[in-house]
Amino acid sequence: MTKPDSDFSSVLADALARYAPTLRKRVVENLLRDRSKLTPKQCLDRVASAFENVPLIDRRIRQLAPEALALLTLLHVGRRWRWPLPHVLELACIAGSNNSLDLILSLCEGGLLFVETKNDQQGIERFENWVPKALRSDTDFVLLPPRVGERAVGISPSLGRVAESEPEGNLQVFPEADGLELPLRLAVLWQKTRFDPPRIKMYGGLFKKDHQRFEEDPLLNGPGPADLTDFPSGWKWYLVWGMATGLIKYDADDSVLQVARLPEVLLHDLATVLEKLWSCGYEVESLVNDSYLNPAPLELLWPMSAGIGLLTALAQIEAEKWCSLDDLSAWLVCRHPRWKPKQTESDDEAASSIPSSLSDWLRAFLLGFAFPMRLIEAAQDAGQMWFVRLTALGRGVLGLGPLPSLPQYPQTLLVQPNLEIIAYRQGLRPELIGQLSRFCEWKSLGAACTLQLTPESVYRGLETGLTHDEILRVLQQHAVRELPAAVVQALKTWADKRERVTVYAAATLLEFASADDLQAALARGLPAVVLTDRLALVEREDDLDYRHFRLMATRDYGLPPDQCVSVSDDGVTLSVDMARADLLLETELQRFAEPVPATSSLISETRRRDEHNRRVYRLTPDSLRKAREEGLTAQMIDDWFRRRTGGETPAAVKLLLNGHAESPLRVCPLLVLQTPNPQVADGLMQWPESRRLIQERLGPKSLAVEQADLPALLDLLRSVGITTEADTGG
Amino acid sequence: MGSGTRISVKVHRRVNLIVAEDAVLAQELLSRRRLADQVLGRLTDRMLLIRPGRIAAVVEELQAMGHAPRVVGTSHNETFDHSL
Repeated sequence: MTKPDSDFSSVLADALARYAPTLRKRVVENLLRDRSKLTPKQCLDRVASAFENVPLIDRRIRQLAPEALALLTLLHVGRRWRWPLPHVLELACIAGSNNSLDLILSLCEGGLLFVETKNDQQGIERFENWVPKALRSDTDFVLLPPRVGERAVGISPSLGRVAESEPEGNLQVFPEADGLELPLRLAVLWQKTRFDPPRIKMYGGLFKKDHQRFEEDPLLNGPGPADLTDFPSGWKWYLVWGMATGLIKYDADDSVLQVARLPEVLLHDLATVLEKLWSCGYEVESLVNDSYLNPAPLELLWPMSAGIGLLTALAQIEAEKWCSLDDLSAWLVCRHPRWKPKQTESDDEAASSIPSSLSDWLRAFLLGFAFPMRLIEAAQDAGQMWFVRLTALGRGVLGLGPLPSLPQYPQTLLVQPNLEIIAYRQGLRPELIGQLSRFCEWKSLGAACTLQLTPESVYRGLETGLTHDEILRVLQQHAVRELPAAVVQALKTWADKRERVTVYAAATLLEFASADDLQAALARGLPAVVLTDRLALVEREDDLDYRHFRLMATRDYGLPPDQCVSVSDDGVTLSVDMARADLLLETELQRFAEPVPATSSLISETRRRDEHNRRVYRLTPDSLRKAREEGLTAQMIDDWFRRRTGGETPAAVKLLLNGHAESPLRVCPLLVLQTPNPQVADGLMQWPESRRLIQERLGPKSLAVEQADLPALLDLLRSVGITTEADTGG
Repeated sequence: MGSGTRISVKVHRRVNLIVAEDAVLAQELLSRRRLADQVLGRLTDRMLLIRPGRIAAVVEELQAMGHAPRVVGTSHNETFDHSL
């Protein structure tokens, strides 16, 4: 199985914990044939140890009905231990059961299958009650203990013999595929998606530009050397596989497809990779039926359960014998619920009328998928009839036989001085494909594939965590001859170049109160790079041992800046609360303000005593002129004041900042006419005769008058009976 | 300071930085207009403080300049922008 058994143990423990006590007790009794009283913990331990007890499991399996044994075998051949119930029902039907649900539930009662549910808070009282929910849910599963599947296969269950028609004349046998077609295309897809992540439209499908790019890509759409049929593959097919295997993920937040950091699924030996791909068949099936990728033409390949049944049936035939596609169709038509005839029809009648959808599916699945995956061999007789049989590797990958040892050709790369690499396919294996994909660019696929080393590809390889030495070692290990000096030199140059600039996307900086404190921290083993006498950079904050430190303050630069500056009454003196300040603040302030020394008379005694916690800056005409020359606008400074002080730009700063742009100030002598109350001043301002002789209103009872207009104004006032008296001081 | 005394420290988290190999290279980076726009200040002679949320743009610009920057860590919140 692809997943390690240790994963299964913890899943099984969780699953059993959700059984109601009476159900759990019954299942454990049925499995162990032991009626002693057990605590829940003892139940879990006894069940876990039961699956290590091979004779016990064999005894239970031998007591099963043939169709139950066949179902366990089919589940094992699917190479996964977690199954959605609808798929298990299909497989039970293929196993020959007339009542698939009863068969599954009886295996659950016997402790040879388990059910997993996430939502049932009450616990499962009866399996029958769980079924309706499991048919709709995507969080409820049937679990097959790996040991049960292995032992069931060893007992050779019968799925019903497949007829064995003789071929006409001699068979023309096609060379066995290398199983690398899908891994190679996935490697190409991983690269292309990584370089330029395609975007997904709101209602599904790729954006036109990305769709066109993939559609026109010869590496994602060209025929493979092992193609026997016009199977509708192409980039959509590989994209679905990429998503099913976790190589590519849909980022719903950004509506974009992202790749995994490493092509993890490829970094194993061939058998493991093929097993992993095969086990993802159900994920592919659900993605093919999912509309947002619009992969409609691909539905021809599924259902996956039919594929599992077909290959299991093939495994019952002697290893050297061939089986025709017609015989396989006749076998499957009587078993799979999609094509199974009505009960009134006999099996012979059904076998004589094979629906065309089954023939098409069978051909596409076997010749278009199983053959390039190296699961089967294919041949044609004189009458153009196709015959197939399982390969030794196929039996091993499906868990139906031992894995054969495959020939190894470690030296398979021809690295040329022009930085092109020819990879001879017979020596390629998925792990090497995965490694090369990290630092070379695939240029062509075929019997001999070509790749190109470029500065960008090497740079991207280094970004995945490879080092220069590791890249060199991969090439040296697999090159048919010594690496050209030009290639070695180019790799060194490109790798060195990367060391010249480092970008920290989320560094942690420690700011110490003094240089001595920083040195003391280093002496205690602080894993940091010293930046200044008081600042140090830590690449991984997890490595910090906080027991040595007392946190004075913490600033997170992903959050909006803190309001940590207060403005004095003079409007130009700024006081910074250093505990709340960030590193950006000082660089910001230095652009338009000058630091004030602690000894300055501008700093009050109270603040001087608080020197460690506060720092003072002052805006001056010079500092603001410099800021203007560096491109800082009044708007930018205004934004800064709002963010950092929570208030508007002080008037004094506005004056210093914008004074040069104002109209010239006017200096002139004016007389002030004072009225006894505001109502008189209002009247003079409103009456047109007097208004034309007044310059402006200075206050509620003060009006400005020009010297030249004074006689006329006095005459006017006298004419309405208002007397005036002159200020002797004026 | 005794070995048992805890050292006072202020922690700055999720800081975006460029560290150049030498001061000349840092100056060269600053002279690139589109890169300088993303730089908030020069922390040391070879260390530039970048505006939060601009890592992708900075890396892209560095690559356009022919550099192959080593990118350490990922920023979890690139949405906030300092406008000064």
